[in-house]
Amino acid sequence: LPEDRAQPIQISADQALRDEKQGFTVYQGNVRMQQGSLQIAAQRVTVFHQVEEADRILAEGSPAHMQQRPEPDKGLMHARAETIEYFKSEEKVLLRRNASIEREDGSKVTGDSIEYLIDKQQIRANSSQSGGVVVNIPAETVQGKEDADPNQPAEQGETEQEGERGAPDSQ
Amino acid sequence: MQKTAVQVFVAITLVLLASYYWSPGGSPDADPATVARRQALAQTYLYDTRSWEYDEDGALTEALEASRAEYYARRKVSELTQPRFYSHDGNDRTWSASADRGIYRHRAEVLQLRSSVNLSNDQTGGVLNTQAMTLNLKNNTATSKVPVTITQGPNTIRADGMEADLNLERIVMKPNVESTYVAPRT
Repeated sequence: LPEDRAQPIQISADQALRDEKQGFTVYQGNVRMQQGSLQIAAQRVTVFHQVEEADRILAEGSPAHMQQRPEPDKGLMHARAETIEYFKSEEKVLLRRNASIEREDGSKVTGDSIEYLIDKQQIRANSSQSGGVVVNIPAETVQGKEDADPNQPAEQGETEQEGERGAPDSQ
Repeated sequence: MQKTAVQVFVAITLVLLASYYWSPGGSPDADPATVARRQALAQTYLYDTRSWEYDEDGALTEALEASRAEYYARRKVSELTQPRFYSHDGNDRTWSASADRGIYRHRAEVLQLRSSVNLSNDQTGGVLNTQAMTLNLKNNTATSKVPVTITQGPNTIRADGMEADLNLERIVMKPNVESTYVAPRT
């Protein structure tokens, strides 16, 4: 939700290692992180706190899960990847290795790495291997957009794909 | 020559006899209960006391203060009121600890702090609060087996125990870790 970024970040875990000199805290074991509607579940979460603000958060798992409700009237967005890096001040999430983002309307993007801009609701997927970036957008979702007004530019939430090989195949 | 030897022998014998019977501050024939009660008493009372410790190069490594210290010779412990401990790691990085009460075990060089215990990292401003903590002054570590809370600005981390290495400035908190990071007002 737009107000997520103003919410406190709550983290629970089995253990935490706090390095006061380097300015980070590593949470391990059943790690759950929540900030408003944004939730992350992972085996290991590292919070970087240079001064006081937890400005960068790195979640690692096999895979790590993230979910968020982009807008009050929209369904949940689910993301998975081996590493999920959350840049709070930039409102950006970087998913790396076996990355995928899926919405409740069935649309799904997978690739090696995905950059998700929360406030703009933009997804930028990259892939350097054979699999390429795969974007699945269900027919009814496409149909719904055309009925709205075909001449209108794509609404927010458009997906940019950058991949070395193969055009994304939409079913 | 023989006369001198006899005189020396007699002198030594007298000294030995005297030391056998004369024990300063107590009569040798006191009953065990009295001796036990006497040993249970503090041997030394100190008020507003402070001690410093330096390493071989003369650098200050730690300072220990207390508003009152009672030293018990037999147990080799000092019971402290309002102890305050300062640990210096030689690189101008310090930790400070304080509590309502403490026990310093001289042989083991262990300081056990009790009640309103604070441990603060003077560089980062992080403060750890708990009700019981043991400081090992030999290897500069601190441990707690009861709930602890670290506060730094508006952010907090709490757990049911912790182990801190004051030289590395690392704290392992477990189990049951709960943490809150508050977004700064923009």
